[in-house]
Amino acid sequence: MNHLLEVDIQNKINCSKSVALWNYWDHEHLDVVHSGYKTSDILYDHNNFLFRIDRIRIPIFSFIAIKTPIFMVQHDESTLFTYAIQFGFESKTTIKIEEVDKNNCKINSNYKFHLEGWRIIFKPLLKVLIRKWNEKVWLEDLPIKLRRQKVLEMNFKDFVGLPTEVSDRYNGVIKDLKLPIVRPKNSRRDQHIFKKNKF
Amino acid sequence: MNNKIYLCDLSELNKDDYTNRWVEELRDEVILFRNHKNIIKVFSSICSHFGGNIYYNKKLQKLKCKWHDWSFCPESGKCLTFKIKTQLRKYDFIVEPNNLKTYNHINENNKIYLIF
Repeated sequence: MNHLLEVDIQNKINCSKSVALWNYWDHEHLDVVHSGYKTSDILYDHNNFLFRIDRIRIPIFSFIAIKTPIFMVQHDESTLFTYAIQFGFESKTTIKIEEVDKNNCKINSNYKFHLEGWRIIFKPLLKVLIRKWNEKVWLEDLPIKLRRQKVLEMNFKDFVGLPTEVSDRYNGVIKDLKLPIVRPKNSRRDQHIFKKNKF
Repeated sequence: MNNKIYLCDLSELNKDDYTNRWVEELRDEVILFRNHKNIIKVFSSICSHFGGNIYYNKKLQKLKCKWHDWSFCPESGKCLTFKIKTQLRKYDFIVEPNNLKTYNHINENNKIYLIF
């Protein structure tokens, strides 16, 4: 018997849609900010898609770390799909970001887990784990998005910082996100053997 | 003539290894910390990478970013993780009275002012 577990979670945040999206595509913060991530290796990324392997700690059973292959694609300007094997189960996550105004947006996270055969017994547990995971990651990311919004409003430039003149630190226009987000050479995300030796 | 802005009492550097303050006049956030020689330093605490929070890791004797773990020199503000042109802005300050810029328990009622 095949079965689909579906969990829908809505959140609101005081930041632009661009900042919310940036947070999903800023892979370098994962193992620094989120205690649920042990390692994260990008094997390939190009414009609107990426393939990554993470080692994550399962909520509640945090002593267990499992490898999770992840494929992410920015399907359109508001929709992000993530295909993964999470906690050993095939999953598809759909993130939809709706702009309320230039400083506010709504984020809908839809999780689908494919539970084949006997795996259906994990349905009640997975329901709990998904909500716990989402809540934990949301709370860890929240101050980052709010601060990012604030610095961009002060005309912050990536890899440069705030403008030299204090008078220029006002009325920053937050631009649409351009993918991929630039990483420095030798970023910790680009250390996997498949990434270092492309051919 | 220089302007000065009150940042905190010296005693606040006793409680923690560092403290952060938003300075509206400069539209910048600063970090005050005492290094391994108990000398007080003040830098901008907005990471020049993506704008993350800078804190002082006393054990490593480095300024670090909470978002991406970049390291910065606690003397110059230069980035130690990657070669980038910009560095954390260093701020001048005075400690009143006596302008003794070294932390000790005797003068912990002194006040730290940013100079600009």
